[in-house]
Amino acid sequence: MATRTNRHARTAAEGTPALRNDEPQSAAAAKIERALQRALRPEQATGDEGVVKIRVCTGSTCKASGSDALATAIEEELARRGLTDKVTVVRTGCHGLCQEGPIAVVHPQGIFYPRLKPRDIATIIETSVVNDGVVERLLYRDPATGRPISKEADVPFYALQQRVVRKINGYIDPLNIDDYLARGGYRSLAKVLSEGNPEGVIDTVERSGLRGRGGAGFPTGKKWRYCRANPGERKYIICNGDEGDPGAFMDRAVLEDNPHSVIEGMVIAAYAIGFGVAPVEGYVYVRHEYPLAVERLRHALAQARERGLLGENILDSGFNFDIRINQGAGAFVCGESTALTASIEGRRGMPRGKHIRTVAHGLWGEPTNLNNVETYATVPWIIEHGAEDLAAMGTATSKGTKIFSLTGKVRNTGLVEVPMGATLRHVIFDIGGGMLPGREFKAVQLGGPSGGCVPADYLDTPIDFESLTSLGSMMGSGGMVVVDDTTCMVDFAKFFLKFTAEESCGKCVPCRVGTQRMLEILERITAGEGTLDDLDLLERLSEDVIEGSLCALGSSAPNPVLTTLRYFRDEYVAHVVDKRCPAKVCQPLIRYKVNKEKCTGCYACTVACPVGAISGERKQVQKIDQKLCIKCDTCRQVCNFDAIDVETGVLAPLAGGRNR
Amino acid sequence: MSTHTKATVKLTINGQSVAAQPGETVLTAAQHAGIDIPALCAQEGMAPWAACRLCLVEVEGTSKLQTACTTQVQDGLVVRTDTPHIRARRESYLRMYLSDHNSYCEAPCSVACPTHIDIPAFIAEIEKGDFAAADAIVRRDLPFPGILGRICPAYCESSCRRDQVDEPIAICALHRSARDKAGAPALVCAPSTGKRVAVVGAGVAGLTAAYYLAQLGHSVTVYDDHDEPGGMLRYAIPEFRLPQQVLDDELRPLWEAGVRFVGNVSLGENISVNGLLSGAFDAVFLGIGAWQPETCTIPGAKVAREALDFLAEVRSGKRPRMGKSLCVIGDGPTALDVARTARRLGATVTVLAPHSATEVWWTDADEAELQALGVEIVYEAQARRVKLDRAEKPLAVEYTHPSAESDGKRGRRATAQADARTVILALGYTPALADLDDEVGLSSDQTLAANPYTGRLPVDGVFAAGDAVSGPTDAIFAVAGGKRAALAIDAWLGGVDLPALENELALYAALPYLDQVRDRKKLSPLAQRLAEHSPVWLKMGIAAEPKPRAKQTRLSVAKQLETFTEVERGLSAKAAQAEAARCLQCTCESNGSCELQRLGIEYGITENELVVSPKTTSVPSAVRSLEPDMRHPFIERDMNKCIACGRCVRVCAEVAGPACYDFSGRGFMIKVDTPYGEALQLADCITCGRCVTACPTGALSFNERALESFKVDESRCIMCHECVDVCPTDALTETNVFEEARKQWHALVGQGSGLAGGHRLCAGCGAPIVVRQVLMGAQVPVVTAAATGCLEVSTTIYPYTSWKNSYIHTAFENVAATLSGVETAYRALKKQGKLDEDVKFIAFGGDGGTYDIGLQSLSGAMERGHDLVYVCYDNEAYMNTGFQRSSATPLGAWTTTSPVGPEETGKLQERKNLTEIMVAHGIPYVAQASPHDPRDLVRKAAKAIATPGPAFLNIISPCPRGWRSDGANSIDLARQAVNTCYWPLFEVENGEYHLTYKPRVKEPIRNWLKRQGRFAHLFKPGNEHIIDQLQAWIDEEWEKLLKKCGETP
Repeated sequence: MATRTNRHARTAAEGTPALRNDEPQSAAAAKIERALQRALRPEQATGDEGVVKIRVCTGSTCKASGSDALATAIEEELARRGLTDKVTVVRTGCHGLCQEGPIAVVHPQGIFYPRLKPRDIATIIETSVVNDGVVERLLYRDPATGRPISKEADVPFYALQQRVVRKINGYIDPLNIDDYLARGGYRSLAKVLSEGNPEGVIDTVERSGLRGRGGAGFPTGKKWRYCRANPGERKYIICNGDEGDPGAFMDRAVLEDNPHSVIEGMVIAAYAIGFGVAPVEGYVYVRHEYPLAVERLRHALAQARERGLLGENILDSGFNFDIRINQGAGAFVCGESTALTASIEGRRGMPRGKHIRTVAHGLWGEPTNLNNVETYATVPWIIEHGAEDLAAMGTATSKGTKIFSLTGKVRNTGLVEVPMGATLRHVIFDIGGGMLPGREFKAVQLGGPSGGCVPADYLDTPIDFESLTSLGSMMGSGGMVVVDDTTCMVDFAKFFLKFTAEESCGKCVPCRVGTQRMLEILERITAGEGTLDDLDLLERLSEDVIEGSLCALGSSAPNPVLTTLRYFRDEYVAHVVDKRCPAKVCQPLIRYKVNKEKCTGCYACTVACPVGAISGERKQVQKIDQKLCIKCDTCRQVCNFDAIDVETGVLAPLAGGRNR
Repeated sequence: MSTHTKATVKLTINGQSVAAQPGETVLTAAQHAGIDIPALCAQEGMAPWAACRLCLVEVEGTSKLQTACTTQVQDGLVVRTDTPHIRARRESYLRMYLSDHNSYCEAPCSVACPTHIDIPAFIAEIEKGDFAAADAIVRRDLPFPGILGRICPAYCESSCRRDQVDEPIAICALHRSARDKAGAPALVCAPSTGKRVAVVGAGVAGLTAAYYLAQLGHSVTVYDDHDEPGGMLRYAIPEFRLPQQVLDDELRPLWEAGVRFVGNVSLGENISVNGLLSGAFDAVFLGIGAWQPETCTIPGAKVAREALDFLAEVRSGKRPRMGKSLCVIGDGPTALDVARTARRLGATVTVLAPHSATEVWWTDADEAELQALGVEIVYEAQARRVKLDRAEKPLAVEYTHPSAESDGKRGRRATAQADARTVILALGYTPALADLDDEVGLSSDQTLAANPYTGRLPVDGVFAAGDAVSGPTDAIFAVAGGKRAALAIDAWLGGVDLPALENELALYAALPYLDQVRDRKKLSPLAQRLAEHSPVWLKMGIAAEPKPRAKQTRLSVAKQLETFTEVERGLSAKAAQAEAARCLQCTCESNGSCELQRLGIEYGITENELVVSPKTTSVPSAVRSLEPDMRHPFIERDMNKCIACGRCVRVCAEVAGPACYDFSGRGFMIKVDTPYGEALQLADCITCGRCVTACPTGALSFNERALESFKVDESRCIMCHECVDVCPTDALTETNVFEEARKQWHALVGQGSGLAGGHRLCAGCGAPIVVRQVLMGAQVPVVTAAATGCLEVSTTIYPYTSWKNSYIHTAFENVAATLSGVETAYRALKKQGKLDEDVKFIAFGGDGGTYDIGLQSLSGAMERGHDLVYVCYDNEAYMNTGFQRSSATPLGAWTTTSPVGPEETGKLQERKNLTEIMVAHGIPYVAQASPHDPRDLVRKAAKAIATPGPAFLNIISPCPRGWRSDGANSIDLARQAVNTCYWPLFEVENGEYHLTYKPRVKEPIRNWLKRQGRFAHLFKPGNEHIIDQLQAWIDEEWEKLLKKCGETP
């Protein structure tokens, strides 16, 4: 409360910034242009195409596979050769093809080297930097044809994407504001400020057809308009970076790779919503689990303030706006707008009834605009290229591009940006490279734990808000988990439901108890104790939970269950009736057996078994004691002769519990 | 509020036009219009929370259901609250709530027991190890727990909720063990009423009636046609099930209480109902049982023996003549007992049960016992004839049987036969009532037509119960009937209109369950004991660690076949306690007032597919299982009943203020808790009780027992009236001086504090409390000064001060001198006319600055007679400099300069009696006070300040650091110092002593010492004498003081 009172006290002291109507627009524009020029330090940018440089991806995934050591190795090698002045090393944000990390690209040729080790560096510099060749053995190979591809631009994963938000992410150093400025950064802001027409900005965003990228797909311009219109002593602009879906990392990447695009988008939003109406303050709510994003964002905010792009009197326009970072403490539900504002206010992150709208009474009771990271990052592009350019991309109702994090049992995992309306097949097979060798596509889970599974029959569905909803799934924030025939769909649904049940805030009963009871039913089914009545009960409970839950977490939690029941009912029936797990995943329903034909008695499994369940004479067929076996799969993994079979079905003993 | 000026809004709810005020919600509008929308989280006076999801309604024009608690009324709004769709959703959510509701409204065992013993209560006593208390609880409703604990078929156990987890509680064995371990029973009777009651029949019903009649003060004579009392208990139930010794022991209290037994007297022969009534008796109870066997018409049956005769013969110690093989025809309890007895007598036994295995009277356990004993049982056997030898002795019993193969001739059923040199008939029994028809009238089924509630027969003054009324059945029904009749007879003798009572009870029994619960308190105490009700059993989740049910040790089968020794040996005390601990205690304070219960009943949730028992699956339904928190003296929190509606959280934060609660955890495991799970009273709780009244279930409840026995500590009362306001049992009321005292106190409090917060004194320090209370006594401006010490350094950290009045900073030894000077200057200025304001002077000093260093200046000031008050806040050592002894330090206390070691054990000297030294100065006012009693302290301070001339106050001031005590206990330690008489509260006005508080019980000083670390060493071996020495000193001083005050010791 104290904070809030102080806040208001400060409001009175500052007063409301007045529209500078006394100044002719052109003069104001000139002033802003001068301020922008002052902010530019082109000499500090790492340079553009044509320059000899090596781009090393330092996104979280590549960092995890050792890209820092790689970059250091490159710098050392360049120093050893005395090339430090001639060749620039750029530690860029994520390039997107996380599967192949750590990645480095050598310019000016644009040669793409994936999965590098520091020991490869000397060769690459010798071949591709000092000379103009390629190291054939280190090149990326097209998974379809097996042919090496040397140019980054020719890699299908990149070639088939259409990047708007992520256009420069792999090129700039996220810690260097000049890289962003050199590529036209903050010009959209300058443009907006010079025009002095906040309503016009809203018009533009509205005309572009931009819809919220956080999941619900609410028209962004409309939200801004409401927020501007709602009276308040102060307005808040919140960027929702509480990306909690398992397998989703689009927002993290945008914050890590190009934090300035988000900042610029937020300042534009703040200007559009608050200028001439009320003072505006900004928050970025970002997960504590994203330390790199926080670090880079904090750095970027400091740089933007230093260059006069944020804070008091932005670009001499008289507009004040600053952003602070609020770190979430690991609750999925805090991605929900009202829970998020409660969390910022220092209260328990619990959603509230939707009778009070955030755009009218949000943070501290004031009109608040809350958009997703990607939404804000799209805004500068719209201002730069015009509403029509964005509206030209996508489908009738869903405009622009969308970033998806492609994960699961697919060849190329990573971040994919495509125009709305691209088909699932295009994303998964053309860009994603299709399934792993020998495996068959089964389904793709869209929209995180709240989304639904889409089976192969619907692979040609265009990705937009409406068509995904009609399949029982949703766009969500853009998670895309691909599964193949080794995944049990009941177990898969259980995984997501377990996540949402655990992450429920516990406020309303359908979500708190309903999801738990559904989870128990799924657990019974995967333990071979389900009945056909349970399937009907699951459907009934799903409807109850969907209709009765207070917020979207609950009302979408049953989606994975409902869609798997809808598209993979036969798998449920196999578990319930035949006590069989077709994918051989559900432990109580499977059993490990030694294949007598193939076993050589090599003892690999006997030695590896952690519980001593395998016995037998050396060079004789081994035997697994089913009573001791804990089904850890170790024996199958260590067997050199493929002699461990996994069986499922009525023969399998039903471990634990009696049949109901 | 002038509502008539506001425009009204018209909306339609369920087709009914409803007027509402703008800004109102649909929920309140509906409530005002008398339309019920269930709402568990919404509460008047608080912002909507929208969490319970039960107030979801359909609003025309919206696609989704809306919560009525958040939807504002609008003109023309069309709302439906009760469509099948909405009801189905609500039902589902209620199932969800109940599936996680780990408790129960009412104990099913007590309801199932025909005598309605308070089973959870007696089991709770056993768990505590108090078998006598358990026995007393059982005997309120069942006079012979030792008997029924052996032979009762235990309807309670088959309804036990624990069965859903593992096995029912062994309730029957438990009340037997309560009796076995409680010592000899006694029957305490009310004073004699002078009324005489005849009980005919000394069976279970008659003896029960006799027991309660005697207890109620009536003179009872029991008649029976046997020579000894007990009826079936003595003559039909074998020794190995109910030893005669037990029976005699259980009945002894009756005879000791003066009940007379007259044996060998038959109704109809020696006595008659009319004879008894016209003779000496005011009422007659008939408990004549059902002894007349069903006749058996099959050929050869005349040679068969009757089971009851057989059993009676064995019981009397005779060994009946019988062949090697024996056949029992029948499948009731008697047949069972005959079979068991016959096996002990060495016969091979076949039981021909006319009914199927599922229809027979006995249980699976009984069947297992018979089989273990080697008894052959044939179910659905219809005896056709008894085959006789030439001597007309039985050879075998021929019977038909569904699975016996037909011989194919004329579709006749094939017969089988069982060898039987002895045939015993146990086919069933009826009451022998023919003679009574004229006297009392019979019902159509040839039983006594007694009223089910009172046992009253159509003839005035005659009552009946037991098998003669119900037909042959289990003893426990006879107990229930006998008890009812006894209560009714007592009422009738007292002039109660029984027909009216019976009517009332019949009407009550027909009420819906919740109305029964609500109306129960409106019934008279008698009616409450006689009333019958049938609860609705909602299906709720249970969480309990599976634990095996206690088993009584049993005689081995070989031993059973050899002897008539009792088979079941009872439970050991330890086993009984462990078994009692398994009890789920299915009781709830909120039974009948619980909103969840009401809705559960309305939506009929007696089955709940969301509750899956661990007995049927490896993945049972998770249910919250938390230890109830009973740490707060009045507010009990059982979070197993919590539905996380948040009402308590919000009412505490938004209405009451302290915000003691919030949610913790997430998802299914969310719970309402206090900060860090602390006891509620440590979480700023003001015990206003709002959380309890807000709770829609029984999760929060008042500990009514504690409230009823609550004693107001008047010395601490601040007249806030909250206790009277919140007391749910009206146990607290105002006294006649309350209002006056309240006004005075509130005026004092209203002055505000003379010492501002934010000082640097430790948490729990007595000094600031003392200062505040002293300053409350000042009606005029005061000038204060403090000697160097904790108080001075902590309240005047440069450049700040906590003192709201004028304050002089001075040195350690001269506060009295400093203030003497100021006071003199003031008098001089006043004399010169330069000042006309009344000002008073107060000096504060610690015990160091008063008892020791500043004593000369204090003595001087007092002697000179300055008009000032000197207040010593006595914390009993130099605490400010790190705990050095002062002359106020008590004997034995550790300080850094009175160390504890092999040579020395704390301070070696007694404390200086400074108060007496000050009295010796002959000043007008001296007093001792304590901060635990603010009213006393403030009064003394006011007196001291108002007194012209010098005054001295010595006030005990606990120091958590130096006393090595918990800061939260400071005030309590001060109180205890007073209650031990270590720090007596008294005042000396112009030399006259007056004791201002005398403890009701003088506490031993050990209790006070024990709570302070500075005395810890005194409790080590070898140091006890120091405590004794201190106690002796206190006793001596107290005696002296009492004398001076003119009090009797």
